[in-house]
Amino acid sequence: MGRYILNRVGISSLVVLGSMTLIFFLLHILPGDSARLIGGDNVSDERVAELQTQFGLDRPLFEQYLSYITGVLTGNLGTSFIDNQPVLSKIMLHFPATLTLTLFSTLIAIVIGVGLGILSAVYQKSWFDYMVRFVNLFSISMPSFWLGILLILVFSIQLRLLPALGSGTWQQLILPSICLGVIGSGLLARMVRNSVLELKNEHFVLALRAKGLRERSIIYKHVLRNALIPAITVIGILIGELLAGSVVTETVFSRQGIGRLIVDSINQKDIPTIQGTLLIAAVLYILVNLLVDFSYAYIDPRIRKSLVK
Amino acid sequence: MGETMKKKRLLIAIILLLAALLTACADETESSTTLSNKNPISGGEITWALAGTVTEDNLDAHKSGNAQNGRVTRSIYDSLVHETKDGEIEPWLAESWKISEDGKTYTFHLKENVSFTDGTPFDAEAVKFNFDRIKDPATNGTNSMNELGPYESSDVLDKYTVKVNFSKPFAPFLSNAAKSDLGFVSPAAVEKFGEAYPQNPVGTGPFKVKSFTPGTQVVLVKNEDYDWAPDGWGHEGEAYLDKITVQFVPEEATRLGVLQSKQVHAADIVPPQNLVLLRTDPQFNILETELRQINYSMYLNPQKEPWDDLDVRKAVRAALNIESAVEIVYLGTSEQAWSPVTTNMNGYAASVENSWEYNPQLSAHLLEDAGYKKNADGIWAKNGKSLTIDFLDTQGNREKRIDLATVFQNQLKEAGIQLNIVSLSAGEYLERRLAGDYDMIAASQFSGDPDVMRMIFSTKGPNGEENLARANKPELDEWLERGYSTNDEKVRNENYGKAQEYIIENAYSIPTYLFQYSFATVAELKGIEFDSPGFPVFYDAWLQQ
Repeated sequence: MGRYILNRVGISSLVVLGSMTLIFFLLHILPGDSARLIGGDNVSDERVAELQTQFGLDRPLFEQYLSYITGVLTGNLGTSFIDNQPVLSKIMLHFPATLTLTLFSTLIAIVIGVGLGILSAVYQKSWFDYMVRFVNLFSISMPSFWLGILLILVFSIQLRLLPALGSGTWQQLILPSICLGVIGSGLLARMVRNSVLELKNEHFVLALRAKGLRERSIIYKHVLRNALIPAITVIGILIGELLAGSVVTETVFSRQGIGRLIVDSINQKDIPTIQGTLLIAAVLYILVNLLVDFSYAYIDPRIRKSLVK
Repeated sequence: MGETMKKKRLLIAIILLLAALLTACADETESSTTLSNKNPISGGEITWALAGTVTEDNLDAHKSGNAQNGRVTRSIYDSLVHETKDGEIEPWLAESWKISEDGKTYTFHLKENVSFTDGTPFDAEAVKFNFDRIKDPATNGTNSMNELGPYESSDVLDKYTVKVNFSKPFAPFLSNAAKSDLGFVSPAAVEKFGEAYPQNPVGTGPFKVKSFTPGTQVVLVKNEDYDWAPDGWGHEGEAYLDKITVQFVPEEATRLGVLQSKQVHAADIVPPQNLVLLRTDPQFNILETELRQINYSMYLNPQKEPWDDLDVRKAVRAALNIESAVEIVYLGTSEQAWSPVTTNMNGYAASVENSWEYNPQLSAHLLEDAGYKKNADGIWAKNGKSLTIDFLDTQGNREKRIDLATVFQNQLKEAGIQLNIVSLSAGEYLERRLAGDYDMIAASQFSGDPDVMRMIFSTKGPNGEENLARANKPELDEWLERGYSTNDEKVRNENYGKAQEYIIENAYSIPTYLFQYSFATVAELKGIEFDSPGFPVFYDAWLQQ
């Protein structure tokens, strides 16, 4: 088991290094001279050169790369081109809002997705099943900005139940969480429904039925546990996407967050901030997937046993 | 013709239907609150949903170049002088001033007992510090640097007298000095915070920054020591409101939604469909003002083939039905613009109005004469190259500009010209703009003085030969230079008039719409005014209870 963990962690570190390298070089081949952009519209060539020296942009690319990697390894993500603040502190300022949003929307996605998935598998081919499948299709294909505006219209403007803007209080968290949660739930519900349906016809389920176990306990005790494994993979992907990609939702609800930080820094070509934010997003994504791998072992004794051997 | 009218009507019908749906279920039974007091009262906190985002550097008066930032910084920073809507210059932080015979030096006598909100006294040293800071390239001032023109130096004559020197006469100076871009930052705060000053802004204004979360919101509170409002404002002493929370809400549906449900007290840049409805709703007030600025205009690149041919530029212009496009997109809330500058700008040349028209036949005729033939797709082509316009954009649908471009796209297509809307990140946009790698580009530029034309049309402006219009004509440079280097209003207007006529005659600019800056508030919020370029002033604002 310990070796397995070590192995996974080792591979993940390589993936982190790979993404760091990729992010660095991609950003540097992008068109648009950072120094010129920082200098503003009317900047002179001398001033551009001065800025390039100031931010080390005139050094050979590989040298810049090395100092970036060493910086990250020592916990220094660099300082922003725009306001000279440490990138890490900028990220920490925006991160809590994104993290809470991610957690709550994932929770909502799990409750709706797993719940609807099981029910529609249990009542396969009933009107309920068809309805759920239709709703799922709808939520998967719905753009988040549209659902966001719709939620604001109904719950905030017409019913006046919840605030539409900002981040900080729990009331402000509800609508954006529902928005992202509902969209995430579609894929999850499909996944759960399909695995439950597959498992319903497995031999072990047949054996359980033959033993005279009640259908309800077969589903909730035995089938669900097995169906959770693919579901967890989806949840892992979902969390990763939400952490890095709630850009649109954050804009619609005027929330603080990593998504808006990324957009603002891309617009200003603030390379250190883009780099830092993308890196944090990549690390979180990889971390979540690592946890997903470990949780397989926790949930499925077969995997655990195979690892111990 | 019948077909386009039908299309146009259908489009308007769809937009109106959507707008109606948006507001159909709004609570209509609610009676408007009985409003007791008619005179301003102190106290009260408001929230304002700002159209746009204010990021890290934007609360530094000297660095912020965008209009949305100016709308916030106006409350934080004061100016030397105040300009009324009629263009009269009145005292503000300066009690009086004298302009030298040659127009190159301005001597200001400052009000005493003015201080920044960090306690630093406002004096001649502070004026010198600020103007020198703007001219220092390291400050990265954009608009502010341009607004100081040929500034050379400042001399501190005594504690409250300062002489500002220019290398050439600079007529726009007083009008520019009235704007928040040339507002005064606290020298002590700049010293103390250094690079982090923009996140810790300190001015002498009626409000001070309590907290600032870049990209999210800024909280302003009343400056209780404030006692130096210009005479043109409604009262004396401190402002009425205790607190203004400015939330950055770039998404227009959200912005208007929170106003209509009264989660905020104010929202600016109201989309046309909401404007039409809100105007008739007694629960809300709509304030509108025409900004003084360079209109949002299209610039075909005359340095690049085939746009170097005047007839081809004219053919594009004649294929555009701007009046109809503006009507479709802005639903009658904006009008067609004819000149590069707004109608309320000094020196506006009314002579350019109706000096061209929508005329598809003329467009076709001009292109035929220039050697173009229609290809199989119905697009004009010459030497195997079809007439295609790559239109660069980086700002998105602000003020419905992409919607407008999309209508233009359809109009041009009907006339056999292909328009591609190329959306780019700010970095790539700037790079291609500076390199001249585009067929068409568009922008507006706010300012209170026609001298702003130098930014767009002169090789001697801050953008040099990389100016937006790229006309790069010596006669144009000269008129624009003569325009700013004299205080004689008549001579100024004459030169600016010539410049506008020349620009339109040569189709260096295709002006589109006259922008109405709109500011919607709940009926209880009173007393909001606008400064000379059209930014909101909250000093006299109060909340009826």
